[in-house]
Amino acid sequence: MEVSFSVEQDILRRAASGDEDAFEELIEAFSPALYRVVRRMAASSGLAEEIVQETFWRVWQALPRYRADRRFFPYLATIAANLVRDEWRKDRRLAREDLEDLPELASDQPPPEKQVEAAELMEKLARSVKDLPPLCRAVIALRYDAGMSYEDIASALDLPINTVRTYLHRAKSKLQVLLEEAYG
Amino acid sequence: MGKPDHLDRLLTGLPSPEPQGDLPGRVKHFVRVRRRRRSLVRIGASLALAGCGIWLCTPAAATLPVSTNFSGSAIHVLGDWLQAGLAGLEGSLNYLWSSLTGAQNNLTAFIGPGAWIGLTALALSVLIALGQLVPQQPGTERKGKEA
Repeated sequence: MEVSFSVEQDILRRAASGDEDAFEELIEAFSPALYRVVRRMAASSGLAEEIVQETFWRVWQALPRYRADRRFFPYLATIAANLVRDEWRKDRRLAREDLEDLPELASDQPPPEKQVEAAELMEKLARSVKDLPPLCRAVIALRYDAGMSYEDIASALDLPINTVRTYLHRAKSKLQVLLEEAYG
Repeated sequence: MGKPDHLDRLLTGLPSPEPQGDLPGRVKHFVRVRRRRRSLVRIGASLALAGCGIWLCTPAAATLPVSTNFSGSAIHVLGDWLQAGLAGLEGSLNYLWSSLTGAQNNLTAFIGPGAWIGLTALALSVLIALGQLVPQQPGTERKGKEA
């Protein structure tokens, strides 16, 4: 469900003043999109759903302090990203990723060959994104699924903006390599 | 932010994992259950504090009417107040101050620390109950990190 900014602001104001029906409108409008972003970052669909539920609960508690003059989805995605990171911290093996483990590649790699079927390519790319290290996956999800700016991603993940750029660049380089390995 | 390259375009159109079944319904249910649980916890805390408060205040409340003698002094107090008022602002303020400190001394003498704790518990229970009834006003942005 696509919601215009003015309608979104109106629903948010009603929800912030305790209107439970308005808050349920927000859940109806944003939970599927939020799930898609979270699922890209989380290890399983069950965990992704738990995070979506917890995100909306936290938003409900924080809504009276929410300033409704900005888009709501980046705010939601920021809370969800923090919850996903908390999950990573619980799993120590995923807590710290070593940037140096990612291969250094030139940024001007040529695009995949044109003869590759688009559907196959996208499927392969989605699988490759799944294989990326957690923070790279998070940056990809927030950038491309949530459509967030580098500034918003940096704020959501509590990272310097240049680190976000580095993660994104290296994630893309790695994806490029994986695609090239798959299709020559 | 640079121009989107081929990989950017591919990533933007990446197939997204779809939620199974009625995800919004499940999220709504989850939030409703949490909200109900929080209300119950608050009501329980409010009742427990009120109970404690009443229990601690009851002995002091039982002795207070016997220990204090307000009825006989009401006309005398009113007369003093009028006299102080006629003496000007300074007299009124002095009288008000001495009345307040006198009342404080009387209360401290007649109500023990247990009753004070009881009164605090009662006040807290009222605040919790009011917090449950009155929604917060939106728009007061919290500084720092989100939620």
